[in-house]
Amino acid sequence: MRMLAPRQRIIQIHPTLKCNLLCKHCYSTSGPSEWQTMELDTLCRVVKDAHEMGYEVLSVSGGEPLLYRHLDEVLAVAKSLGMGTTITTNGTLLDRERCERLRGLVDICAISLDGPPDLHNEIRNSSQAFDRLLSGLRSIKAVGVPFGVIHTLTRRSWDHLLWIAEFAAAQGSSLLQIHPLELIGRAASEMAVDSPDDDVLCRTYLLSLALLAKYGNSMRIQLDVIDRESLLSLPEVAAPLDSTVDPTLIPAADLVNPLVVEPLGRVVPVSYGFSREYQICDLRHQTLKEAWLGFLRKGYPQYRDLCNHVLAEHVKGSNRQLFSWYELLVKHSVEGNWGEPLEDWQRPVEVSGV
Amino acid sequence: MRLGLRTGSTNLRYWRRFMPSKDSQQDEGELRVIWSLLAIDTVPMPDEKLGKQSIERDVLAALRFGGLDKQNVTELVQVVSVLNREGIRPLRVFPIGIPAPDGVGVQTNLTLKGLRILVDLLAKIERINHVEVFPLGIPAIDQFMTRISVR
Repeated sequence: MRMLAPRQRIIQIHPTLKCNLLCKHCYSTSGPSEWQTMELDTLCRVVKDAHEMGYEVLSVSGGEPLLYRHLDEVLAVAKSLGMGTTITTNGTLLDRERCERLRGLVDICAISLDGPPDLHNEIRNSSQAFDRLLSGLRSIKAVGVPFGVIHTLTRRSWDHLLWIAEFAAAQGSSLLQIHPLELIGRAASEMAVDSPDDDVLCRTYLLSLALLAKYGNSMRIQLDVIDRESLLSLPEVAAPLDSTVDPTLIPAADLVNPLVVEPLGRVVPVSYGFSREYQICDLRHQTLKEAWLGFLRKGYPQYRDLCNHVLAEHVKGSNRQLFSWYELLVKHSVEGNWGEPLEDWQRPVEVSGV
Repeated sequence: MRLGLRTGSTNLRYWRRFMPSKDSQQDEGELRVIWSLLAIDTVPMPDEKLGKQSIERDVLAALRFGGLDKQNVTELVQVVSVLNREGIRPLRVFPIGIPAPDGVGVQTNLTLKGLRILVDLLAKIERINHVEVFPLGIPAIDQFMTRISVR
């Protein structure tokens, strides 16, 4: 279980909103009718910039990354720079030929599983989703691409975790990542009642310890929550720097981690859906490296204040023991009024129907 | 030794002999309800060592059906996170309750320093049900097997 593990410096990109499924819990509201994708040149440039700024791992999500036609090229660029690479996929498009192309380009392929077949199919809005996932797993195992299982934790799924762990272990998965449902995107409207509350998180935490004892030698168990003690005792996780330190002297990847590139080219701190007030740049107008100094002068102090505020008001000031820290930051970045008025290029752009 | 009712097809056939049967379809449904109510043979009796296979299942059973209070579970998580912050490993979760698990606990080995941390922590926590500290003795004279549980 990820508790105090060293943090990798990750750039997470969402190159497309296209997806062959219409999942109820999708944070990016991706689907078959979405068509926005990013230009290959733009993505390769941001990956190179990020590498020079200290980011070590490229993580590709979406949308469905296998529907992004330049996926192989982007992964190849990251590999040529010596970066680690991961993709997160629904697994339904993994045939043998596709897996052969991924071999050597991906260090780990995370495949989403929402529970036993009925629950998985219901959340994925497809009666075939589980069967096609199984087919994908057969292909990826046959070709030998390392893979893990990523599970979106909900109120309805937490007591299926034993089944999920047994399934993942039986398939030969090297990772079981348990990620609490985040109520953004389509999940906010379609799965609001399924969000795991504090009690479910605590019970899952204890259950994860039991899973760790059983599977820890063969499969990494990672629960994407942080406990109160770690959050308060690891300042680099909670609040990036205190205001007395000059951020221009610190590597970018130590200040903002993960760095997230959204499908239209917005670059934001830590998680998809972060408020535009904290946007680092829009890749349609500026490169990441060009924008960074400007962000340090203006956006970064706001981001630091937001982290400190959330830590003081919503962690220290609460009785909760476990936090989905990035979700908490996203929530308060959107709800809070911490920044100055937006400039034109920072104003929201409707994703659907562009 | 294992006590309790066996489950599975043999058990089902056994119960079918004693059940009034008017409609076989309905009969099957009723039997399955009874089968699930009586499905207790997965919990070992005291003289049987808990199998590694069943620990996580019993922990889940305790967490789902054990009637554990939300506050108690939260406090156990607090204990784990403090021990975790101090780098104390490994931390093992175990089920409590025979035949039906209705509690969970955490077990680890602590040094004297770890024990002091635990004592400080317990002063702040009011609802932990049970704390057990057992000195392991020679050769590990500075090690204490510690179990903390809620029920």
